[in-house]
Amino acid sequence: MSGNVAAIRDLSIRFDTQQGPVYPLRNVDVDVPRGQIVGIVGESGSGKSTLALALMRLLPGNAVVTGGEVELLGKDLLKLPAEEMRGLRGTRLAMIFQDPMTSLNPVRSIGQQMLDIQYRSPASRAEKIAKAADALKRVGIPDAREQLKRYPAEFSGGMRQRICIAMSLLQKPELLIADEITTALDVTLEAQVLHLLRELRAELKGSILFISHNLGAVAEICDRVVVLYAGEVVEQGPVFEIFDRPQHPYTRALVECDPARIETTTRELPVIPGDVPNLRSIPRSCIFAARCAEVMEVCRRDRPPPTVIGKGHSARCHLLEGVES
Amino acid sequence: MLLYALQRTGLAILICITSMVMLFSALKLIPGDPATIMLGARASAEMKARITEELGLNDPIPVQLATFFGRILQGNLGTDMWSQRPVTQIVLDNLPYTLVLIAAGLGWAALIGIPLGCYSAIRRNSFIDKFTAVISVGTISIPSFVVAIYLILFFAIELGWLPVIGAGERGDYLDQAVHLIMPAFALGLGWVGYLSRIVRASMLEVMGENHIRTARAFGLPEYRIVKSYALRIAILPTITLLAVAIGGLLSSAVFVEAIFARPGIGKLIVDAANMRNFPVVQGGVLTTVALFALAMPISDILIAWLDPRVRATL
Repeated sequence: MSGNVAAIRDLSIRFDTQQGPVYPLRNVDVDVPRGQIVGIVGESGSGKSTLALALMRLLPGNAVVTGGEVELLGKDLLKLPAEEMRGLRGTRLAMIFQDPMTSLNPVRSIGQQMLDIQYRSPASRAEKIAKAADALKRVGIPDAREQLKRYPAEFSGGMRQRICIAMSLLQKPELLIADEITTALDVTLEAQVLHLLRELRAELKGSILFISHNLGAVAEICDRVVVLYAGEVVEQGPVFEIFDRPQHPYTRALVECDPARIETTTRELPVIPGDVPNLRSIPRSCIFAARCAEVMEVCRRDRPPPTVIGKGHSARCHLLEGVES
Repeated sequence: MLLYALQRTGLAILICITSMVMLFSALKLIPGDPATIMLGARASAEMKARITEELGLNDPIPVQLATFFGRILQGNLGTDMWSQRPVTQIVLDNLPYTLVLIAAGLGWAALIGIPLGCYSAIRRNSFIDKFTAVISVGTISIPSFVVAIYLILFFAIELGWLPVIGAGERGDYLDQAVHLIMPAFALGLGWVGYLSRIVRASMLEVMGENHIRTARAFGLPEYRIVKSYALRIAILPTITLLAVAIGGLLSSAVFVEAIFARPGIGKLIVDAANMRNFPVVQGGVLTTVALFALAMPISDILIAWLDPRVRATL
């Protein structure tokens, strides 16, 4: 089978809060091709996690999908009955969360939790335990069978994140959503986890949605990159295009600001001036206009549509209009 | 774990010793001659002298304290002033009635209150949630003796369905159970609302935690998430609360036992106090203190056993 594991079209989401509505995602288009790792980058609050939770249909109760369509594993995600959705989770679709310290249940042992998530499998208890131990071994946890008896509090953050990864891989998912899974880890562990993800993709032939604000990690393992800014996809394309030929002023600024890319000795890190716009009232202008160094009259007036720049590469910027190749 | 258990028990013993000293000094601090208070103003001088001698009141205070402690350590709580029976025996005769009453009162409150709190948390703002919220405030604020009086007026006097007085025939368990209905209901009613509110609050907190989202992300059925993932954690504060509840229930039991004329520690203390029967008062109070002091370490150990996070820090 080829094509997309997930196809998000024109997705918009609203959160109803006590202070009024917030619009965390607007007109988002993202494709996750089968067998590829797609990176989602953006600042905190750009809607990365909201997008992930929308794909899992685990958005908080005050979230409303106001428009768009999501095709996930050949199904219309937004119209799927709740029971069928639950059937996808943990089998064909899995997610690893950001904070390993709080993502595991503190009063159930690792083994119990890994058995619990296999509840659909007809295998015997012994087989399930063997499978869980195997999964732990694969993510580099020694003495796996003994570890199954232990509780989350007895493991370090890095170990817990590996346990979460092992759990998500038990059923060989077709789409794995990894939400900032390296943020809580130190550099060494991060490198190990990235290596692990790459191995897993080769082994499982699945797709990964890799959410991160670490551009280095994204450049290292992703095939495609989607740049989110304040709830809009400002640019997306193949990974080398995004990093070598960024077209949107925000992507350019982001790539330039990555401390790992700064080659000259400097005492000050470059910054993008200004703040992320307030998502309570969305301007009709380009969402980046207030911070853009190359802002034009038209940018303050109209919101730019996505412009296709190359194969699978597009950006929302008035500067690019008419340069379509 | 063992060390922890020993520490908690040691603390309970310390509490008992402190309360024993306080009890002892209470007797000393009562104005006037204890023998006169016990016997009344018209007692003869010989009788007073005999009582004073019997109670060891002529000895120096430290000796009296030492004798008092020594006797208690041997399980001897003294002798009843009136019947001359050993107080230990009297207390042991009455204790089971109070324990059964408290267990039944707390038991039905927990059986109703905990599921109700769970349901209220999961179906927040549903009719049942709002209904229990209103009823809880009501039942928490009505003292159990008021409930007891209304129960008697309605079920015993008006309808004649349930017996009013006593604890039932000895050996006839059915009769004893029927006699237990109203006192246990009166004792536990306030706790239904209290427990349901506490469980609701801690359930709401736990259901919002990240690991619940993880469980959902793995497609676990909701009843399983509630039962094995959320309630296991949400129940922990309730266990501590129940241990504290024992203290409150012991004092409510005094009223409930007095109203229903049930034998029990509460009624024993009230009757003995009315008759200035100090050794019985002391024995009864000491037993209640010991019960309460024991409930705390038991709940602490129970929590350590149920919660691996606590266990890991021991």
